[in-house]
Parts: sequence; C-alpha cells; structure tokens
Amino acid sequence: MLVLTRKRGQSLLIGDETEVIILEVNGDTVKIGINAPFHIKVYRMELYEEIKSVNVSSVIKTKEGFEELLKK
Amino acid sequence: MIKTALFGDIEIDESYKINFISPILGFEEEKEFVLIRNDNDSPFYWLQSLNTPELVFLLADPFVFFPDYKPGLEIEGDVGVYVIVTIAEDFKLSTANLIAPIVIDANNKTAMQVVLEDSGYTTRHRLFNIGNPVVVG
Repeated sequence: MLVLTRKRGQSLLIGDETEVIILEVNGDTVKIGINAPFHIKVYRMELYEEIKSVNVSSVIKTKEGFEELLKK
Repeated sequence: MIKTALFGDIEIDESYKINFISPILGFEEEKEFVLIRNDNDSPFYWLQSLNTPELVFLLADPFVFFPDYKPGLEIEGDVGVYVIVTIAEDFKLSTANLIAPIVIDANNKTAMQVVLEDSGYTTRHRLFNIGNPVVVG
C-alpha cells in the first residue's frame, strides 16, 4: 500500500481525473472531498461491502414456498 | 432461447435484453439480463441473467410497497426503478434494498445498480407491514 502524509487543504490526484482533498481533520475524523468524473463510482467501503453481501444473499435459489404469494 | 434454473428454457424476445452499464455489486461479470414480470399486474419481477442460468433476483416495484419512496434520482424518459427483494424463510418477513435500487432505461435497454449515499435508506426494509404489537398502557 502506498502511504502518503497530507495536511488539511492538501490533495492527491489519482489517475488524471480524480482528486481527493483533505478538507478537515478533527481527532479521528477526517472530512474528504472528491472531484471525480461521473463514471468513477465512489462508495463508503462498509456500504459497498454490505450491498454486495445483500445482493449475494438475494439470489433466488428456489421459488417454492412463496411463488403463490407473489400473485396477490 | 435462454436457459434458466428456475423457469427452464424460455423464449425471450431480443428486445427484452438489458445491459448493465454499472454492475450489480458482487456480480461485475454479469452484464446481460432480462426482466420478466411475474404476471400482468404483479408488482414483482424476475431479473434473470442470460449467461448464468442459476442467477436470478426477485425485484419489486418500490412505489407499490413504499409509496413515500424518494430515490432522489433525476429521471428522464422511460426509466423504471426497481428494488431487489431478499427473501426471508417466512416470506412475510422479506425485505427490500432501498439504498441500492436497480434503474432500467427502457429506451436504450441499459441498467445500473445505483447507490443512494446519505439517503437514509438501508439494504433491508420490510416489504410487508405485519403490524406492531399492541402496547396496553
């Protein structure tokens, strides 16, 4: 992993188009600004992981037991 | 003709195929799906992968189950918003993922799973209101 030290107001450029700016540092909380083109998706890691895991557990294995209930 | 684990071999009109331009998270390799309505006026749909017969999701029309749902998306044209249902062992306890809906543009047949950061929604909202216990004071 590349590790860099930045101060408040300083930024990083990832690739040619994605800028990550340190906006505010307060104890163990860091406020970050991101300027990125629309096709670059930005997610909070824990939300990304949760959605992935809910998606995986939503794959339908069988329609037995509830198919009738869908018709109401 | 496509192969499916749940419905057997089914005949699908080419025009029903949709292409995910931003993937269902965890299924980045799966781009081609078909959306099948459960029956004519059902709020449920099946999202079946064209390449993997075993990969099928149950989607619901969120506005039927959650009339106040506001995904906050700028939607133009013939665009449908659907939510993925997570089936519970007791179907009445099944949940819908309102924070990451599936958005399908019917005109150009493209789709994406959109993540609504900071929307206040979660991945698990009960589909059915099964009532709260009555508290006698």
